[in-house]
Amino acid sequence: MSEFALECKNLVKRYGSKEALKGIDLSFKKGNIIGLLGPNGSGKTTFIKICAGLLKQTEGSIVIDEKNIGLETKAIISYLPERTYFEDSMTVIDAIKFFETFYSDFQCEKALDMLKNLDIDVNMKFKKMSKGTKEKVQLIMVMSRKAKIYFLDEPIAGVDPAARDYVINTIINNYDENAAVVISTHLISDIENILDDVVFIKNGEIVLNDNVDRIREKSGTSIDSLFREVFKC
Amino acid sequence: MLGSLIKYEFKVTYKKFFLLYALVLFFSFINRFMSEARYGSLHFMGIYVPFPGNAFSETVHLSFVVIYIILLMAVGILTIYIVVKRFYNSMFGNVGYLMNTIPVEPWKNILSKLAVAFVWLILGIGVAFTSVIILINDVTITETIKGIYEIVVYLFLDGRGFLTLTFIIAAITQQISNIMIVYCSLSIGQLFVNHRKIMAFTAFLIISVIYIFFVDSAYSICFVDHNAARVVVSGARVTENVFIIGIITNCIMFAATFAGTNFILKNRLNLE
Repeated sequence: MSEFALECKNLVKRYGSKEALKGIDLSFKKGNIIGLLGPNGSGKTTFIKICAGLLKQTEGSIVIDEKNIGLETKAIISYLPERTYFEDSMTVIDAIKFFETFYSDFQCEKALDMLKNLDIDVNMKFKKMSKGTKEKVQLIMVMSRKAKIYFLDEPIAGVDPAARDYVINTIINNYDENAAVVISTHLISDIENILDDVVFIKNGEIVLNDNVDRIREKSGTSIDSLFREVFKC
Repeated sequence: MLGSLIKYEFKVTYKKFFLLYALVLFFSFINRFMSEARYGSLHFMGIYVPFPGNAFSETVHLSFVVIYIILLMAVGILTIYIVVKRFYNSMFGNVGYLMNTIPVEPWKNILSKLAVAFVWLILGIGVAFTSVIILINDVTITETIKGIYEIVVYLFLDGRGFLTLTFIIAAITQQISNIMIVYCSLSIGQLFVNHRKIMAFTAFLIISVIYIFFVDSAYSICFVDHNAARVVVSGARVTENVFIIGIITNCIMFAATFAGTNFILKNRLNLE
């Protein structure tokens, strides 16, 4: 059994003549929280979409838990996109039933507990929720799965600073210890402390891929400061 | 999983349709009663109800007729709108991020949406037909059922059964094939980075032209007197064959557009 939750080699994605990913090689260890960091348009979302099966790579290979991207990987990936994806006419309880039907690893009790902690009415429709509440519900749904790998695309971008701690705690308290968590964000200071590894991505290329402690030791600075330095305009 | 997808699709769409159907039937009843009153035949619990005949009652009656016609048109428009919008939003819009990441084969997603769209299409036709029956003053429910029964008997007896059956199957496959052309066009449209809706509409026009050309060619090959062996003499046989050719071309078109849509969803998904 591989120690990696994800391995990709020479991953290329082109949109017409534009190259969004330029042959990246990555591997994420099981049990680690990985920060996929980069400015807007650097290729973070493209990479995650390929992993989630929403895009097909132009070249290269990618395996998740030793499986090629497809139905099998969809069953073990828990994906939080940067947009809200529930039907407006659905209630929270409808969303729970939906996840229960389609994901065998969904833990209904866990989701209900988290919703209760946040005082979210399970009978409320998504169209009546604020953007922040919708995102919290989505995060709860995604983190209530016992997945092999979690892809969280900008999980804290839409929530107010006061709720960010709750979101971060939800992430670290709910993922399986044998699973990897990939967090894509540019709000580094908020999540820096929970990361094991970071990947800096710029114009579709990996510019840094290392352990957080090692980076801090080598550079003598925080990840946030290093990010500002690397991606200085 | 297919059953769950169909159930989910009904759950998301039924409220709009049921409300519309209820309104159509309600207004057809209202219009019937008003017409009966106008022609002096409305009785409520044995008591004769007269039509006031003043300007106000005339305006109200006319308004109800207009509302009914608008609602009847809305049934058709809403069905087409749901077919297009539901598929686009739930496969290529924000909801697509959910529907395309659940561990379900793309063909099941397509089939569930197709099945539900088809059911709404048939129900819409049924409701429109029923509302017209309600509206006709002189016909009672018993007479209507008797009339429908007589029509059915006429259509299926005296050797007309096969002809009727081929006609029904041709009509059904035509509708299913039309829905699939829309799905396939929307799928082609999302392959483009920009102007996706315009590209989808262009794809729809191109596929429709190909379809017409294909059907026309099929009829030409089968019915034009290219050689004596292909000539069909009897009028009835020609009609049956027309429907059979229609069924075959519809099925081929359905298979091609379904396979194309499935291929795109499986291998060329390109969500914004």
